[in-house]
Amino acid sequence: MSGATCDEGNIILKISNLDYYYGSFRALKSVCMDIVKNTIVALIGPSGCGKSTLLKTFDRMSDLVAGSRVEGEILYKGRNIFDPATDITLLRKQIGMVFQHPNPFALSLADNIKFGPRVHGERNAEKLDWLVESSLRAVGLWDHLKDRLDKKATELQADEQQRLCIARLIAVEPEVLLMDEPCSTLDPIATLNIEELMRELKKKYTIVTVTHNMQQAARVSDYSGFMLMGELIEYSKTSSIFSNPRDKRTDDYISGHYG
Amino acid sequence: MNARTEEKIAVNVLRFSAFLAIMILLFIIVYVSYKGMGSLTPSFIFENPRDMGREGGIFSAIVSTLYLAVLSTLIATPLGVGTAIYLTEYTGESAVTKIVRFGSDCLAGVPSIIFGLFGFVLFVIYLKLGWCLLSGALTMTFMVLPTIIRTSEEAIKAVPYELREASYSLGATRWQTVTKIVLPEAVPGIITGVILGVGRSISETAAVIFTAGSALATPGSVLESGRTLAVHFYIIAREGISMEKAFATALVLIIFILTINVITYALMNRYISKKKA
Repeated sequence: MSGATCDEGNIILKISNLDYYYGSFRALKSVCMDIVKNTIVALIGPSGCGKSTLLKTFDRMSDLVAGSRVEGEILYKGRNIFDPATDITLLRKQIGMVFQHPNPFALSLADNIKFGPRVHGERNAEKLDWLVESSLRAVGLWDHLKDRLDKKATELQADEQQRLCIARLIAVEPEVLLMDEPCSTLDPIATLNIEELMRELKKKYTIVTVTHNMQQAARVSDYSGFMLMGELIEYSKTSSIFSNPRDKRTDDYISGHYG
Repeated sequence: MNARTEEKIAVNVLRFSAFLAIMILLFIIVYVSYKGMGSLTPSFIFENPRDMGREGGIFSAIVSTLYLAVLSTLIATPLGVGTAIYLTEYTGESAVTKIVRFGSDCLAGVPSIIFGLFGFVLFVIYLKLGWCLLSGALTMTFMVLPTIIRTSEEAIKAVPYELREASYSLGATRWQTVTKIVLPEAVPGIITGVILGVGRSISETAAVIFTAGSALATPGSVLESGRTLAVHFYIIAREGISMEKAFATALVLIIFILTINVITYALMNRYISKKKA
């Protein structure tokens, strides 16, 4: 398996021998990878290769699938997230997810942002308002929408909705952002905007994104992992994986022979 | 027969059946209004029945009906919605879910007279509540539960999975997700089930006679017996006490149910448009 090519001290997520089963189907096969703090990691590969499944194990959203089972371990800052003692709500506060389809709640913009902090017990109105402003600023929506915080979130345009979903996540003050094809329902310009935002967010957060768009992976990520049929075939610096893939299957995929 | 004629016949048959449904409703309303309108005066509404219902009005029956409907709705709604939440959000599709759902569907098919007998044995005799509105309301609770469970379940299932995902991924618990995200979205559907339940407990006779009795006086509390509008109608019509009063009672009953429907649908529309706005 392709190991880490980075300094150990900065590893925020360390995945070792991870297997994931849907019933008897082995969807992930002995995946090992290290994710470095404040970088963007892109997972690429053809449909059904397990990249979204892998992403969902990082905050244990994969638990929600009935009949699923996981083996191996994921260390988040040195602690195994599959340990029975893990507080799953705290884990998901620290490692949040942005989904393929923007999924704002049918509430106002402000209440969307406040939802996360509230479920984690934040009651202070001033703190909540501050979180609304700072999160919307972080995703570049504040100037545009500050006078319309009562507006229904579901009425925003698709890329604004996706930004809002990212803002909603930032409001719970996470460390890792998981993004499952966050741009797949957006037009090219909105996609570039979100990519720009990801580069900006990298300064504060670690981002793992799944994409089937290889140009996007090349543009935005520092590290890339190529997956095929549940295996992580190759994982290294994006510049090297795209210019000089070590595995023939990676080469074939990147040069467009399949996928 | 060619396809064109077939199509024509099909359209007309379908149109006729749709037309028939609305005609039956209209016929009932018009007929009951025609027969009952003459006796429907303010004093009929606000006076108590005298001489077994031959004279006077139906005030006590209106009060009994309200008691029974409100009480059974208050008990059945949390139980039914709670069951629906448990089945949809907490169990997954397991054997337990299937058994509970099957049981609840069977319950829906039990004839009301059997519920009456069951309520009589359990509440009136065994729990020594006697014939009273509480016994009646508890029995009606069992009868309307399946309806509320089923409609609530459908309403909760219709809430997009993505919203739950978003909530869980922010670290919300199941209960937080249910109460803050899922239920507010499902409210209109749940209300539909509750209205169906209210309608059923207002119009039930057999099970209510067995459990709430048929006392003519205005009940002072839910521990007293009372005669609901439907029961009053049944008794004075069956015993030939006064057909005019019976039809006037039926008219009040129909107006009751139509009003509840109209008001709740109006409230529901306002709720939905407020959520969208």
